[in-house]
Amino acid sequence: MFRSSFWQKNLVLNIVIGIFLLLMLTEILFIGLFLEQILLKSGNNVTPEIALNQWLIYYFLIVFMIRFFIQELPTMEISPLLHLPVDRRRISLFLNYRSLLSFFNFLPFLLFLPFAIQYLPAHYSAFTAFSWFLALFFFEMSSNFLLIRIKRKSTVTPSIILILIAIAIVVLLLGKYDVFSLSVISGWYFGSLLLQPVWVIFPIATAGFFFWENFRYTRNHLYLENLTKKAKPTENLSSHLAGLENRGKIGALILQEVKLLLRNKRSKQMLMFSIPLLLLYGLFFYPDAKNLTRFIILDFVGVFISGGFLIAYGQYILAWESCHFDFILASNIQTEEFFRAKYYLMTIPTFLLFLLTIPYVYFGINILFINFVFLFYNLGVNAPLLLFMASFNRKRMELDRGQMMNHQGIGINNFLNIIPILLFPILLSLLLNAFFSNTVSLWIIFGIGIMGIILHRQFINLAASFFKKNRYKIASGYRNT
Amino acid sequence: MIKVNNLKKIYGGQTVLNVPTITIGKGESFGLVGNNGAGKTTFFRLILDLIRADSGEVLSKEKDVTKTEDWKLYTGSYLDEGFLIDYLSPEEYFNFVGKLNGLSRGEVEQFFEIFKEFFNNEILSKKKYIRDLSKGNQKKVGITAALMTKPEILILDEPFSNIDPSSQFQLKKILKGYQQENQMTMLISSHDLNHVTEVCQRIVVLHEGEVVHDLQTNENTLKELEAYFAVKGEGKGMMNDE
Repeated sequence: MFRSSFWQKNLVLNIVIGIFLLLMLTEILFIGLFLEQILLKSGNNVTPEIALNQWLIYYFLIVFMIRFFIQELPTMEISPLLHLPVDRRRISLFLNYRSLLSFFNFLPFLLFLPFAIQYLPAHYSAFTAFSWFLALFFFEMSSNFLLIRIKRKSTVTPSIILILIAIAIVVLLLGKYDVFSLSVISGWYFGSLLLQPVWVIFPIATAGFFFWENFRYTRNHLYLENLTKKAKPTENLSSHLAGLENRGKIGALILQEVKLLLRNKRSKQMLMFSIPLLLLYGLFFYPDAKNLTRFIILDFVGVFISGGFLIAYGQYILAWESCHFDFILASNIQTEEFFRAKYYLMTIPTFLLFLLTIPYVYFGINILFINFVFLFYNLGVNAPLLLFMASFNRKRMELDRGQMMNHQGIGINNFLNIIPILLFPILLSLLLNAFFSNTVSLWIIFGIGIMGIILHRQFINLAASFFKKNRYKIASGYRNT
Repeated sequence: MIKVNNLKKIYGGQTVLNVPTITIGKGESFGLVGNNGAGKTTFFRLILDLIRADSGEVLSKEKDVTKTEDWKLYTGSYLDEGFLIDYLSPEEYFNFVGKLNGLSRGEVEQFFEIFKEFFNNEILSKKKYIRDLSKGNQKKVGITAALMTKPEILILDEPFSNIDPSSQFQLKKILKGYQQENQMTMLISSHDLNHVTEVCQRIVVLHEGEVVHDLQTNENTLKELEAYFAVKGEGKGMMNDE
């Protein structure tokens, strides 16, 4: 279409993602090729295959967990087939075969096939080596079809995530205190397999069973109404905020966007994953005493910890509303008001998140001070900066699809955006520290933040007028489906 | 009320709209007809400042729509799903639009009373988000929200398509009533010559971005229009036969 510039814009991004994927695949393949050496180095005084056999169960569990968050159901493509003369059995089979294309199903070939070819035949018969790998492959297949079956019934919800994490912790603890160890079961099964290849029947049977179960389920549920999930309006958190309605137009805009965040898959995942992760970020750094003396690391963590939501949400500050952007433009909303509502939406949660990070004071009072300083920097500088940069993001974002591995709505600009948000404060801190003491530098950054907060109206108006200059391009980008 | 001067829009070297001049007076009901790709939606988008004109200007109450946002105060519009917030329930959406235009909750509920028949019990208190409504009901929500604010200018793109015959009838009644009561300037595009001639006093025919007819509606208008499009249709048919 002559109006669409989707492909050109996406080319660079696709290349970048392609390079990343290629790097990742190479790394995995390298692990596979040197698996024997890696296992020998791990030094348990056992032969590589025994060590590996003990760990395999963890491998499958971890891959299953990752699949759970990332792997999507292959459903969308079939709606156009339903009214055509293709029988349901074929469609159902097609759906199940489609899931085989998932990246995870190829992992055993990269990770374990080299080991099965290089190492095992030297110590066991070729047939044994073959059945060992076959067993791994069919376990991966079982994992694939079990996951698909589970996902057909339920979606990822916060409670499921918590349950999974709890189970993982319990299993790890049980293993640690030798109550019940998965690695023993794993070692026992794969050990027997190497002695008696006939055990390969077990994974083949489970894979076959899950495949059949999926086939049965999809064949019986091949109706349009089963393929799309409809959520019933919920009146929970957003209705508690109903008081915002009495706060005039800006209150109404804020309330509307809170509903956006809470009712759409993509935004919910953004909240569920980015906020807890970034809050816990401090735990990666603070426990290491060495880090506590490096101001640059502490500053970096400071920007990140209170700014987690700010960055995850603020990067797409306009794009969240891309599906109804024409409404925003044609409605009785002045651009400045619109941007002011966005500013409050970024800053109020940022402040609340900071309150949650106060317990980090455990690692020293200066941690609290640094985080406090960068809270003000985030509010005063980064928030208006994100409003300003919003005009560069011109890609439509569909909210009903998950965030994981989904680069729809993400442009190369989103990678570039991060640079000023995270790099500016670090460079500033480096520069100041070259001339002043650490404390004075922090006070200066604090002062800059305060200035930004005092002048926020002016900054918002600047961002709004920059937006007005670019509004046609932004709107036409958002219209591009 | 609305004045258009030398308006031109070009996409990829192709002129999709070229209107030297059109003036739409206050209280006028203006119907825009034309085949697909004739430039109807483009024309409306330009009036609503959603796309940039390559040349020319649109004046709303003598003010250039690209230079001020004043027109937003008195213009209601519904062009397509991009005007709906699909994760809100219809009630929430109406209240939001009401809030943006300074209406209280009570005033918004009064409108529900007026639109009761039009809604046909399929819109309100259904515990559904707009994204889960049918296409026709989504359109009803959008049109209602545009009308709710009693705008001085109303712009609707294809309001009659996708909604059922009873609702089309209701909608015509509502539009005529509103227009007479509030001296509303109304711009409607439609493929359906019957509906548009019934509602509008003035019909403008667009073809490949140019105004080819500008008629005041009388008893012969429908026939004239049908004759015009029949010739176009035959012309196309002949080309296919060749």
